[in-house]
Amino acid sequence: MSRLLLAVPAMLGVFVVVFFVIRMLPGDSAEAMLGASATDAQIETYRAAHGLDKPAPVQFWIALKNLFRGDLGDSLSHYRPVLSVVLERLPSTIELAAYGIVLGSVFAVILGVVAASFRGRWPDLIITAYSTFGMSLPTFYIGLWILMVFAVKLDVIPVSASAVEGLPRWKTLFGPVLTIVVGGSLVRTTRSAILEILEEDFIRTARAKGVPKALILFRHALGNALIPIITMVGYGLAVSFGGAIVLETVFGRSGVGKLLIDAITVRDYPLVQGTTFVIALFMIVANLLTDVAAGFADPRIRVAGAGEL
Amino acid sequence: MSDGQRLLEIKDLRISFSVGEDTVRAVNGVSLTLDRGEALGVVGESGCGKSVTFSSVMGLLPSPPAVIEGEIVFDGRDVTKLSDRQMRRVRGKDIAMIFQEPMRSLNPVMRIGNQIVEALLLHGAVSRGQVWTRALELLKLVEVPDAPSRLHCYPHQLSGGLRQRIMIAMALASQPRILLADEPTTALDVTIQAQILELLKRVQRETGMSIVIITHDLGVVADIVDNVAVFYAGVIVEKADKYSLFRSPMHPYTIGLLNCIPTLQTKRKRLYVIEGNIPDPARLPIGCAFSPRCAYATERCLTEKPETRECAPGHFCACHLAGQIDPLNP
Ligand SMILES: Nc1ncnc2c1ncn2[C@@H]1O[C@H](COP(=O)(O)OP(=O)(O)O)[C@@H](O)[C@H]1O
Ligand SMILES: [Mg+2]
Repeated sequence: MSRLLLAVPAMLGVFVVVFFVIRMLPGDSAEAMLGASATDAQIETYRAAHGLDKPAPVQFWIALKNLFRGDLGDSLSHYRPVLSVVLERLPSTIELAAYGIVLGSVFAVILGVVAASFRGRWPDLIITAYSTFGMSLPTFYIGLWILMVFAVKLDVIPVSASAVEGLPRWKTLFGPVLTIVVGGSLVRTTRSAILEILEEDFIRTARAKGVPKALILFRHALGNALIPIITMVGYGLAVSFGGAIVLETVFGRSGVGKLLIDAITVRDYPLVQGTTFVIALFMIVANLLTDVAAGFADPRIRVAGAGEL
Repeated sequence: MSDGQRLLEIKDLRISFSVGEDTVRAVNGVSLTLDRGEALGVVGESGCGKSVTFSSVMGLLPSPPAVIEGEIVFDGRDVTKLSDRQMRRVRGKDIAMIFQEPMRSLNPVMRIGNQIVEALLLHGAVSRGQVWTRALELLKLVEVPDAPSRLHCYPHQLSGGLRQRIMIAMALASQPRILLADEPTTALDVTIQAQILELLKRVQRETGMSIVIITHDLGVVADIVDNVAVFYAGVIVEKADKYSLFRSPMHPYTIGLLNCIPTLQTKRKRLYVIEGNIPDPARLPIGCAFSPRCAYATERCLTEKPETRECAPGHFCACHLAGQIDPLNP
């Protein structure tokens, strides 16, 4: 509940920061839209028509009032309401982030469990080295390598997904999702969570019962490690989303991330404002969802009442 | 005691751990037998190797770092020689174990029922169709009130005493022949302690299994065991049936322990405490390990380790002075 209340100032903060930061960039919408050949008179007319001639605080006040009415304004480059432009692109980004998070987590968790169960021996060393390496490389760098291998060398995916009509969905997802998976950011979290849990008394109980090693790892240890792992997924959501934005640009997928980059390039202020606003909102919702998921993984923090005896 | 009665025989067990430069000698030549239906009490201060000894019987000691020598013969087989897989079929099935910390010994994210059912299914104690009926029976056997609804509980919803009952129910799942109870009541309130011990005694009598109750408090188990083995610094310093042990203790350490138990007679006197601490298992004395704390220690005690001798029928003691000390006047 307090998390929900905190969301309001957080969203407003994002709105304010973005509003002033984009106006600090050199050039403005009029110059970017009309091009270098535009006359001063044309530029003045454009600014007046879109309210860009007013002082920044006045513009801000108007934008804020509209925001509270649920109006994010019209896009300067798409010529229609910002909200509809963003909502059109959002599913594609959610799809990418969701696949990335789910497959990336499953892969990382399996590696982490394997590493923990071979603690200090060669499978552990290889996996730990791999994940340290993967995490230290920037997302776009891994993405470019994957593009090199799978698009240029092997030709299984196109270099730019949006440039090809009627592409099967998996081909548009393959590159960016693989990049997130390879990044392997949860491997070490999982490994250390499992190692810690293996020291717990209830693991000794499970061994005393005669539970086989694989079940101890995946049922007893992982069952408990899910709590810290889900929390980490929650913390990592912003990063995953950021990663999705970069990856859309690298792999030419048309999602919210690419929309945002393009909007910044043409100084489409309302669109930048609207896109960041929706992304922030989405992130807050996703964080709340991880809280709920963590609650499901841990009966001790599940809402009391039902099973209480 | 004929060999046909013998269920478990530990022969000259030695267990050490390499910790950095040091070798921690946790168990230094323990020999012990357990018969069918016997209730054995294992007593000794904290750190003298009780848990390590019986964890090794369960194959629960990770080696490395543990180095295990000697034999642990269960049912004709030396369990120290069994593979992981073979040992797993003994653990929980033939020999079960419960622990000191019921609060932390159950998986916090699994329902009680599922944890019991897991134990039932592992060793094929009952068919799949009957596991839930059997789980319920087990809960009733260990006198858990409101049993059907408890099956759906998570451990954090239960008290320590109830959790220890659940541990016992789980341990009984495949009708083991030996139940090892490592300080089962140490973490519990005094009233709950008595109930749990009473329960252990009752199920032991009903099932005819053997039971080992490990404790640092002799008074706690005096009622429910037949024999007592007293541990000190990784050896058994004295073993006898409980009547001889209580009536005529021979080892100065046992005498000290018995004087620690408050009784009506000692009420007026200040309670006796044994001065000093147990020796560091990485730096054991050359002679008798108890000699630094022993009021009777002679030159010989400091230089020569005492052998275990049968000082009276069925009464074993490892002390050079066994039989020469008056227990009533220490
Ligand atoms: N895994 C281990 N590594 C090193 N030393 C250990 C290990 N387990 C137990 N010990 C040592 O062995 C000795 C006996 O421990 P333990 O059997 O737990 O005593 P207790 O009689 O209280 O049950 C202690 O000194 C303890 O520190
Ligand atoms: Mg112990």
